[in-house]
Order: sequence, then C-alpha cells, then structure tokens
Amino acid sequence: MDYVLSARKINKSFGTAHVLRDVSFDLKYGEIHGLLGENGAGKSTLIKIMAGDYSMDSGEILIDGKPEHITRPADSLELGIRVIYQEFNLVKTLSVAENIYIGGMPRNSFGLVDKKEMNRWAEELLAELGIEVDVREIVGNISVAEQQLVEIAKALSKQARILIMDEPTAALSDQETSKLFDVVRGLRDKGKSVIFITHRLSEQFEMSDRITVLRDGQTVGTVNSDEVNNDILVKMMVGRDVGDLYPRHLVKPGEVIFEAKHVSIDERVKDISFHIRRGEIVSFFGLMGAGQEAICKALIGDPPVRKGMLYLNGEKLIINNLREANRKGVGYVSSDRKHEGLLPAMSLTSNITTAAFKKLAKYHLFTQRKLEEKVTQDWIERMHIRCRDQEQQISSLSGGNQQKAMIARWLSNDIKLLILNMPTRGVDVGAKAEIYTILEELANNGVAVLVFSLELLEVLGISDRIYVLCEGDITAEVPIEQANQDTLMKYAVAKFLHFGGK
Amino acid sequence: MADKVKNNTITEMKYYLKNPIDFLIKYGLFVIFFAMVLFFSFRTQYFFQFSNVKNILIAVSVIGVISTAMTAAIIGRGPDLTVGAIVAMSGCIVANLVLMNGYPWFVGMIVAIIVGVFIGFLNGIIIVKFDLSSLIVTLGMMNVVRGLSFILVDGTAQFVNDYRLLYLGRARWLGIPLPIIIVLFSFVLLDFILRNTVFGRQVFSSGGNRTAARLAGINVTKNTIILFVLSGFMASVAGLITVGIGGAAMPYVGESYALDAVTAVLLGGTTLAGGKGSVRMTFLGVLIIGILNNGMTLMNVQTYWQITAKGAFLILAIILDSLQYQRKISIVK
Repeated sequence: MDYVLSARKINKSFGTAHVLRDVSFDLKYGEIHGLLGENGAGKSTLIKIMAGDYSMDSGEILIDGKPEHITRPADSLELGIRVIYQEFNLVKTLSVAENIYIGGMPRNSFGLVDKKEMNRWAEELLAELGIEVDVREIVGNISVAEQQLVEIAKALSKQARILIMDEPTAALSDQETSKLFDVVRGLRDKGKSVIFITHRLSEQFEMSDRITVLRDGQTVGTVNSDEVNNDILVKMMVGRDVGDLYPRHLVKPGEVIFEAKHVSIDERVKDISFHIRRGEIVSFFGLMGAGQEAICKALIGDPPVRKGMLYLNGEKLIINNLREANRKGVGYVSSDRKHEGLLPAMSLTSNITTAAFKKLAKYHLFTQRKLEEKVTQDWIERMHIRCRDQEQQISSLSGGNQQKAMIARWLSNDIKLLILNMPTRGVDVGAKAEIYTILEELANNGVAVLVFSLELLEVLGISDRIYVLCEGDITAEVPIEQANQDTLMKYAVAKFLHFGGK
Repeated sequence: MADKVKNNTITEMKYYLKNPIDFLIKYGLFVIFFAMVLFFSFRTQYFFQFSNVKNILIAVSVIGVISTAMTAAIIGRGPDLTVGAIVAMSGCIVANLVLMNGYPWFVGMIVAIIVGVFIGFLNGIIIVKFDLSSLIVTLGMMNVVRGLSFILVDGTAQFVNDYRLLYLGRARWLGIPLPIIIVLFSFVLLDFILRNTVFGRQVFSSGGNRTAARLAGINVTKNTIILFVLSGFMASVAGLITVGIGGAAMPYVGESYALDAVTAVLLGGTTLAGGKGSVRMTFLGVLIIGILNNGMTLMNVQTYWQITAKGAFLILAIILDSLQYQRKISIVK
C-alpha cells in the first residue's frame, strides 16, 4: 500500500460520550493532509490516539501497512510520529539548540554536554529546513512564530516521518504563516507526511493536498482539495447549510442604544468609536490578539477606559470597576470559560445566580433559595440547558451547556449590555445554533449585544453590522449586506499589508 | 418536586449499594462518628453519661468557635493558621492591661477583641494586596503574635482570680455552661451567614473561582478581608473563653488549635481547594476530635497518642477529599 499511516474504524468513548465512531483516515507518503472539523468533532482525540496519549477502544492503526500497537507516547515516537500542539513544549529559559536536543545532547569525552557540537548540529538542521534563527538565542527571547519553527526542528531532530500540526497558525501573522508554510512544503517535498489541522479554510486550500472532514466523531469524507470549494467543505463540517445554523432576523434596527465615542484603552487601542442600535447584533471581527480582550475588559471597567465616553440608552455610562458594571447591567461572557467563567465545583444554580445574588436577595442581604431555584429553572427551560437537575455540578455538563449557563448568569441580572468574547468556543454545533437564537432574542428585546469573534462564518452568520479590528484599530465598519469573507479578512490584516510589520 | 427528590435518593442508595467505597468516601465522617461513639460507649462506662457529654462540649468549645470562622475562610480563600496564637494573645492582653497595669476588666476584654480583629484585618490585607497564599501569611503572623503574647506577660502564665474575667468560661445560663452556649451560637450564626446571606454565597463563589467571581461583579477583596477579620474575632473570643476555663492567661496555650480546627473543617468535607463545604458538617468534625480526646482520656491512653491520632485524622480527611475529587473527574471524563 502507498499509505504511511492508516487508521481503521477507530472508536473511543469517555464515559457515556462516544467521541469517535468508526473513524478511518489514510495518510499518503509525502502529502499534506488537512484535518477539518468543528470544535468537538473529534480531531484532537484522533491525534491524541495517534500520539499514544489516549488508547482507543477498538480499531487499528497501520504504519507502512503493518498493524502497530500504539498504547503509550513512546510507541508513537518510536514509529516516527511527532505532534506539535498548540501549546509549545519548549523550555523558555534554555537556548534554541538546547531545546532542540533536550532529549539527547551530544557529550564530550568528559561526559559533559558538548555545546559546540550541539550548536553545529542545530545550525545544520535549521539550515536544512530553511529556518533562520540563532541557535544560541534563549527561546524566551524569540517570537512565537520562531518558537513554532524551533518546535518543528525539535520534532525532526529525531527520525520523524509523520508530523502532526495542531492549529499551527493560530498565533501567527500572515508573513510568519507563509514562512511556516514554506518550511512545511519543503518537508513534504522531502517525502515526509504532514497532518495539518486548522479551522481556516483558506489555509486548508493553500496547503493541503487532501482534506478529511470529521463531524460529531465520524468521518464525513476525504476529498482532494482542488476538487472542492468553501461551501462544500462547510456543508461537510456542519452537516447542513450555513443558513440553517444561523437564524436570520428581520427586525429593522431602531435607535442607537449603546455608543462608545473616541474611547482610548491602552497604548494600542486608541480613539475608537462604535455603536449598537436597538434590535441589532454587532460583531467585532479580528485575528487573535487584535485588541478584543482589552476592549471587552474596558467596557466592564477592568480597568476602565482612559479617555472617551460611553452612552447607554442616551445616558452617560460610567463604569469604574466590575461591581459598577454589574450594578449598571453590563455583563461579560469571557472567551476563557474555564478560568474566567465557571465555578467548577459548584452547582448549576450557583453558577447561574452568582452575578445576581444581591438582586435576588431580600433587602439585598438575605438570599432566597426558592427564588434562586425558580430563576434557574426558568433559564434551564428557556435556554434548553440539558442537565440532570439544578444541583448538578457544572463541570459535568457539556461545553455547550456550560456556555449557556454563563450567558444565563448575566440574563438573570437584568442585563442591558451583553459583551461576548468568542461565545461559541468549545461548543458543539447544536448548542451553537441555540446560543445564536438566544442572542437573537436578546437583541429583539432591546438588549445591546456585542460579539467578539475570530470565526468568519460565525460573524457573517449572526451579525447585522461588523466592525473589523486590526492591531487595536477599527479598520472598517461593514454592514452585513456588503460583508463577505474576503473583505473582512482584508480589513483584518489591513495594517500588516501596509506596513509589513509583525 | 418531592417525588423527584425521593427518586434521586433511591437511585443514590442503589448506586452506593453497588459501590460501597464511594459511600465511604462521601459519608465517611458519619461512619467514623458513629463507630467512635459505639466504641467508647462499650469500652468505658462513663462515656454516655450526661456530665461527660457536657465535658466533651466544653472541651471542644474553644476549637469549635475557631472552626466556624475557619470553615468560612477555607471555603472562600484558605486556612487561617494565626488563630491559636490569637487565642493566647487575647488572654495575655487581658492579663497585661488588667492584672499588670490596673485597667478596668472591660477595657482588657474589649482591647483583646479589637486586637484580634485587627490582626485578622492585617492578615486579610496582606493576602489580597500582594495576592499571597493565606497559609504562609498566617503562618508568619502566627509567630509574630505568639512572640508578642510572651512579651506581654514576661513569658510566664498569669493567674486570674477576678470572676468577671473568668465569666465567659465559667458562667452558666439556665444551668448550661456559657462556653457551650457560645459555641452553639457561633455554629448557628456562621451556618446562617454562609447559607443565607449574599456575603456567604459570594464567599462560595470566590472560593470556587476567584477570577470568575470578580468578573461577575463580586467584591472578592472586601469579602476576603472580612473572612480573616471574622476569624480574628472568633479567635479572640475563644481566647477569653480559654482564660475562663483555665483560670489563667497562658502565652503558650493553643499551639495545636489552628491545626485542630483545620482538621475538624476538612473532616467535615470542606475542601482545601475552596468553594465547597459547610459549617454544619464542621460541627461533626469538631465533635469527632472532642470524642477522640475524651474517649482516649477515659481509657487512660497517654495524651501523646491523642496528638498522633489527630494527625492521622488530618491526613485521612485530605485523602477522602482528594478521592472524592478524583472520583468526580473520572465520572465526568
């Protein structure tokens, strides 16, 4: 056979959740093979099985056509499989060369590390890959993109045949991305095989020879990338037309209910203005790190805006700290649900009512269990939160249901302005659609809804108007009628194109 | 609604019949409690007598008062190890002011409580302003306070005869010793605060995830300071009770109190990770320690064995806590 790696009918369950069902996947010699799928589709589980982090329940993996048992990471390494995860495994305080050879540094005749020899090895390796990084530099001092390249070099320092890259471009600029792509293409031309995972469809088209799509733990199919287009892939990923996933609302936007005028937040985000009309969902689209976090936090007063003015329903909105934001009906659903949202060990009730303890209390002092339970039950029903009962610990719910609870937390507090940062991160497709419907309802009920997102499809699907962020600046305001993937992306990288900076 | 609860109970019982280890992990405290009561009842003739029950309650009153606030502190932020030293200091302040310097009795007692509250405030401020572990800050403060206690009384115990200074430890109301009334009142009060007030609920949220609680508009800083102020207050009251029970202000008293209180709290199922726990269950933890000490004394076991047993219980408590956590994870995954 001409496959370096074949996965056959792989199954994997965690408790009652069947994460992979009969997944099959073939990797040719010398190809770049894209792996595509929504969050929770099973991509990372599949990778982890190949890497030996998880063991599969049933199925088999063939390497060079021969069945192999991969039960521990060491087995996978032995077979020449290398995975580069989103979070790097580099030691920031060591040099580039030391990181590359951390598993086996060359020794001199005294048994000590032969630094000269090691640096020479590293230089040769990097030159071969076409990577220009000083091998003596401390890893903490080089850019994220360079770290990525070092990670690749490290993976290849030991006999590697199959390289698996998980979202390698998530944190890179366009220029850095194209540099990375050159290196990866070079590897392919040398006969190595690459599994390439990214949400960015354009990158899949640019890089991959073939693409396999996973959905809900099953293989939807494998296609040659020059025979498909965006729409086909999206349909394969979500299993339905994009139109079905996103509710299209028909309300005519009314008067302006929220406005930020000439707001400055930090060194990067200066003098930006934007507004939200009644009934509208407004989105900010931008690449990761374009200033989303800073704007979100400033609107809830953590820390407050430095200059400029906010207006809510025609009145000045002054928010100096988080307590004031809570009191004045401004809520924030963080993109980092685990660290900034969930109260993991606590019940659904506590999670949903935690921002509203005061409001639901008698004389704002004595809590009323019954009332809290009633409010929670209300939201469970309205938002279709699937749970055993209110007392269920929230960490045992699915990501989608957790996220619904995070939104409900603010809704139980009479919200006027709701800010959501990546509202469907780590949320399955079904819950996604439900969350969009909720946002839609909120907007119709006069709540100002502001969504920050990195996903083009989401932005295009739910917004009435889109602000594009680049390097802390609003580079465009695009009404939905004029928005498409290309325009938004063009504005999102506008500053990189003109100045060619990092 | 009631049917639902009943159904849940039945499913739960079925589950535990199949998985007795999970039952032990979850309800281990009750099992230990009843086992100890049974054991000591059969082995000693005095154990179940009314006077002995009273003895047990008086003996645990000091640790009991401390562990009410300790429960809240552990749920919301972390343990307060200064409490034992504050117990000693509050007695020494009374001795210094009233016995050695002739101030009126009430001045001594009020100042003792104010100083206790102030030390708690200091702990709280340092912990939140520098974002430090409560364990280490209160450990340092413990020695600061302990040292000052010795200085206040020139290093020796001061005997107290004034009945007004002994009142909290010796008086009886309706025939019930005052320390018992105080400890029961503390438990009811703290249980109410944690379960039924906005502050209490916010303490749980803050302990569960500090950042999330802050972003939800909860004043975590203020609440944390209040927790340690409360702990300092309870410890200084406990110190005044100690003077009454012991008839002296002793600078070395209460070296084990902080750890005893932590043991009681953790035995009661409050987790060191924060966000979970209850004052009611701490009461059971306190009783277990009291019964352990009392029963062993009645059986003429050396005091040293009691120390060893308490240490073993502390380790057992955190193992149960950890097991509960690990089991949860395995079910979730």
